[in-house]
Amino acid sequence: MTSQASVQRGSDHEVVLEVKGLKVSFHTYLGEVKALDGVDFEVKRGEVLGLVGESGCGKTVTALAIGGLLSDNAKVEAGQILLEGKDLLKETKDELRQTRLREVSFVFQDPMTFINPVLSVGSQIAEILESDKGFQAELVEYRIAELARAESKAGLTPAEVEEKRSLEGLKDKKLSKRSLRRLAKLRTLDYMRTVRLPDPERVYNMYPFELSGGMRQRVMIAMALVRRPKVLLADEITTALDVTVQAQVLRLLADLRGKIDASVVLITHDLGVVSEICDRVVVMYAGNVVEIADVEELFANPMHPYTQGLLASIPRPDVFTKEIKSISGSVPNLISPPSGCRFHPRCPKRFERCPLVKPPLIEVEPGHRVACLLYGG
Amino acid sequence: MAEALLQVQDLYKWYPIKGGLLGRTNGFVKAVDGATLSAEKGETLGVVGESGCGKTTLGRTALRLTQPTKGQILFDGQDITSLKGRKLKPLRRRMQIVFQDPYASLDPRQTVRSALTEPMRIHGLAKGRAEAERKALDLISKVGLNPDHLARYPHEFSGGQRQRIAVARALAVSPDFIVLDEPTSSLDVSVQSQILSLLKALQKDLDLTYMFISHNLAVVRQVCNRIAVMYLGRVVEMAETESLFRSPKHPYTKALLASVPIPDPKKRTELAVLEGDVPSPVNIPPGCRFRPRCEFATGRCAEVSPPMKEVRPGQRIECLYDIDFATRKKTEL
Repeated sequence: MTSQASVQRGSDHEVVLEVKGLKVSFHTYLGEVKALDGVDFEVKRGEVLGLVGESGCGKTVTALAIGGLLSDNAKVEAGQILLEGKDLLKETKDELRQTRLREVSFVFQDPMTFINPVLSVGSQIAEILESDKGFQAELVEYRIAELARAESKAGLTPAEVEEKRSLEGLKDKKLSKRSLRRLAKLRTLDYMRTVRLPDPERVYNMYPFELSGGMRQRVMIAMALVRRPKVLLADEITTALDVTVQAQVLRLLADLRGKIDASVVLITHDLGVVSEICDRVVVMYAGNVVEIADVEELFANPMHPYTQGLLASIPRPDVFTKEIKSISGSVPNLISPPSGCRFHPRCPKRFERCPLVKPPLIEVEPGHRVACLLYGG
Repeated sequence: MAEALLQVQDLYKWYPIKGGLLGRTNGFVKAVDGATLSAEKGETLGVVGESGCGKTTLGRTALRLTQPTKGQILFDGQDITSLKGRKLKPLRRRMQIVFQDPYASLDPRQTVRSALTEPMRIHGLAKGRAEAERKALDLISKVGLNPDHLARYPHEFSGGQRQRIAVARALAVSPDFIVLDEPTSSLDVSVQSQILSLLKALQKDLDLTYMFISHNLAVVRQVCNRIAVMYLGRVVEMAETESLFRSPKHPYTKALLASVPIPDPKKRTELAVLEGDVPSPVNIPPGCRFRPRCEFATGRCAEVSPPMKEVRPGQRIECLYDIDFATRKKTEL
């Protein structure tokens, strides 16, 4: 059932990030909130993976756990988060910091909360590059590659030829603060162009309050990409934007997929966004992964009753549906989650075993996994 | 043609920007800047647009929750534009509103029973406690909650249930007209459809007229009879829902519809991208306000502010041209 497009993009690719049996709980004064109850999925190299579900299903907690950004009252009870084979949960605080600096980056829903309001946006992006001494060599190489690209396209000005020669000599030496700053700025401008910020030289010196919501989100994306991370975790990045601006940002993400090496984990509750740019989808419900499939397969052949209900209940902009379907009831409280399958109280297809057994995630068709007793387990 | 229950004529609502030591007015936020629309009896009129386009202000001004700067509002034939104080009270009974955020719109210290019976008492709609109680019971079952919910406080309910309570409270005074201001935006999709179905059923039973304000075009398509598209304080297109979605005539409507992602990977197309951002409602561009972002704009668009014209029966636009988007051919209107 896998369509051609997704075969090309997905299946053969190696796994970059793997989350295995992740259990996280939060200690609150009302009791223990069992936010994640054994989450399993993997992210392949270069893909855009959608992580979808309603509020409180654990999608953001999963992302925060991957970045080691869980709050103090959170406890990882069990599981592994393997980034190219190394378990991030075993890393010390300092190691994790390095990981976040170099391998995993974030873009959040509300850029204003994460951009420093009193620094110009360009200097904030450049600072990420300047702050790390180990990054100098890469900056030099990046600039050389950039000059080489320009050379093959249109030739270089004498000044640029001179620059390239001197940079080649600098490869293994310590850079002066000044040249480090200059290289960081050049690369920042390049990334600002990549995310299509208009007039990057001018925007470089602007402050966050001077930018519109869409531009701020582009700044966040540039900030996240400038390190060339392996995984980009994008948490509801278009939710706060208007549809026309959302379309601009989605178009940008689609265009970036060929240009950057990062795999993107796109966290969203909007199935329209998912169908627009994701390769594969992980559906979560109340702290569990209930279904994983290629995007075409998931929309054409949803297997889990929750996924079926969710797809049936989204109002579609392209057709008029006489009767709007819905899933009865509401999302359970995770302090005392339902036993067995956490969806069973709302499930139209439940049977006797559902409240008793927690369904395992099983592969029903190649690449299509479901956690539902209807399919065995 | 059905009778109009609400008519808004050339409505303006400008908010002054005060600044400086003396608190002088330095300018205006032109939230609603000459909007015209009407809602017919028994229909659901959708008002859509991006954030800051003035849809909420329009809804509130139409209900006379704020005083309009200029223009006229007719409700059931009566001019309500400048009614004041006590004269507004009968109007309040006939017009109600349901807000976006049910966490903010319910008094946390008031039980559901009190929230439902208080408006009845104020408007003298129930003789004595027993009748109020009976009516409250009736309302609570109408919105799909249980009688024992009446004694509870808002914090004991989920978002979807709270929105049901907000709907019940609006219905407590048996209104004719309800403004639904993004009633499902803060709800999850599986719950959103429950509320939409409820609203539809109630409209049928109680013969209500809705003004449905939303930025979610998919939702609007499912519940509205007619739609008004707003841009920077004006209604730029007004049409029946199906004609609007099938063949939008204003370039902004066209772009807006094309930028909504469709939840079906088989229909995955390049999302049409409208460049730039919505201009500030303080400095509205002269001429057609959509011109700076419009791919069809001509020199005339900068000079003339386009009047509302009918392009097809029931479909009106504020644009100088009737554009065929497939061939890009413009016919002057």
